[in-house]
Amino acid sequence: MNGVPKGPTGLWGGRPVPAQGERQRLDIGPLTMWLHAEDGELWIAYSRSPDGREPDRSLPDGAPWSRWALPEGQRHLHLSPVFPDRPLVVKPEHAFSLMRRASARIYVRIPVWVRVEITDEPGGRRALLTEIPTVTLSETWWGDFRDGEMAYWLTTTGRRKLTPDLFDAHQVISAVQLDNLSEDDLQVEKLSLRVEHLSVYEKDGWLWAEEVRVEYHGDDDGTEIHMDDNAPPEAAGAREISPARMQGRSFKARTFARLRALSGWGG
Amino acid sequence: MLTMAMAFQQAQEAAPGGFDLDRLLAEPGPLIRAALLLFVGIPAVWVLSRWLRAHISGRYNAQKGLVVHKLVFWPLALIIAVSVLKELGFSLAPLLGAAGILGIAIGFASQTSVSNIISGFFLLGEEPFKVGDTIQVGDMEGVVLTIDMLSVKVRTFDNRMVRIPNETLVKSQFTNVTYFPIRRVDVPVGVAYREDIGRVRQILLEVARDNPNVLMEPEPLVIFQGFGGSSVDFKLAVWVRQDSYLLVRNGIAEDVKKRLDAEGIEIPFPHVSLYAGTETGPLPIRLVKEDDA
Repeated sequence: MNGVPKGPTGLWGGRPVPAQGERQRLDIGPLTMWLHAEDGELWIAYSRSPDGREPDRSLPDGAPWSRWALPEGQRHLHLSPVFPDRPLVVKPEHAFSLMRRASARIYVRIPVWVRVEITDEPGGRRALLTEIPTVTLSETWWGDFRDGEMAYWLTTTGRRKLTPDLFDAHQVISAVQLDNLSEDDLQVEKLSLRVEHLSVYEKDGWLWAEEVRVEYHGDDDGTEIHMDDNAPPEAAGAREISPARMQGRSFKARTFARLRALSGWGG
Repeated sequence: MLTMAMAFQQAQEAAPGGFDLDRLLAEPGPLIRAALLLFVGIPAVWVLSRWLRAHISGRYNAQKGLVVHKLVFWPLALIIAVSVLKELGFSLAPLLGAAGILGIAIGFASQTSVSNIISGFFLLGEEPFKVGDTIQVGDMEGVVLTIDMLSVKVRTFDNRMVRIPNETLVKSQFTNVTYFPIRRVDVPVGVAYREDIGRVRQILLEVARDNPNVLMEPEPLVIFQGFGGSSVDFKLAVWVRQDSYLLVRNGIAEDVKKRLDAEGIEIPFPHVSLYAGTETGPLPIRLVKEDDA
């Protein structure tokens, strides 16, 4: 990508557990994490800055610490960016109509969760300690009242162009290729991204997901979703740093918002 | 019991050869077959029904699994028991006849229990609720602890156990509060007549949007309820996850009050006018000295 500076390095991967009494601070977008070791325990605290405000990186008074008594020899931490654990509902920057037999590509920024794991040696078998969202996402319901699922609501919009302002330390860029293979026009107001099936890749300090191809065949329940096995061409050569939460590279799932909105009002 | 004893004796005598322990010991073929049926057949049926239960539970749910388990195990176990008796030389016709007579007698005496058992199967099959759901029956509300053959046990929120006969649940109306994963919370809000209705609506929607436990969709709604005695009345309707219901129900009322106070919007209380009896005159007031009082 031309005009995009290199991203932060050294955030993700292995690092030693802080020395006895030492406190480390990690800045990941709006999230500030503190790691502290004491009496054979690992302590973790974090705070988030509200939307759009400059993060306050000072440890809040009375910050709630989570504590883990570590097994003997477990002296290495591993931090990795992972996708949220539910689908994400995304609104394009402007609702648009995808004509029949037409395609469109949108770019979506997805805030990661920080997965903290412990291991006895770099590259060894890891045990999960916690996962901390960098951004608190609102929840939403996707589907109708009888047949739906919980999802997260993404406040950032999907863009049609990849621009430098999309890149952020705590966000993964996901390229979504929409193909309307039906004989009808498709109004794209909202779409659900199955991020549990996506891996995270890194290139030049920025985070990417594999390209998602959404094929609409006319019946939304039969929308086909395919995930590539590599980072998208925009991030050619990126290396995978976190595997997907769930397996499955191709499946059918409801992806587009139903035309009839959920009014939620019945008296 | 006398009938059964007589039938048992008749069963021994009526079978060709009848039940003869000496003969069975001399020619142990039927005895071995009966033992095999009993000690291999019953465990096999048990294993089969448990496997079906696990399979159905995994594929559908635990209640369907339990129903299938009972429907498979008990009939097959009965068939094995009958076969064992037949191998041992019993004739089943007198036994079945006596059992029929006895069954009628027991049936008359235990109509309610039988009705509850059958109702239990209906409840398990129809599945209007499952263990862990919150149900309302009459003015009682609580969490379903168990769905047994005769009754459903419910734990109320003040930690009492309520036993509801299955027949009652089949015959009467009840509400499963947690059947769907999401639920609506309604918050009645009244503001003074002088307030700008559009602004009030906007503020209420912002309060809903700012609450992290309120779902973005279905969208929060502000419904105009009417011109009340002291206030213009609205209802703020927001959708939440089942497990956030109480949290939001309590929290959002507090948020609304704080926000309306901060915005200088009056939440009026009922106004009462005193009428002294004179049609248009003011209320007469008489001042008295403290000493005179």
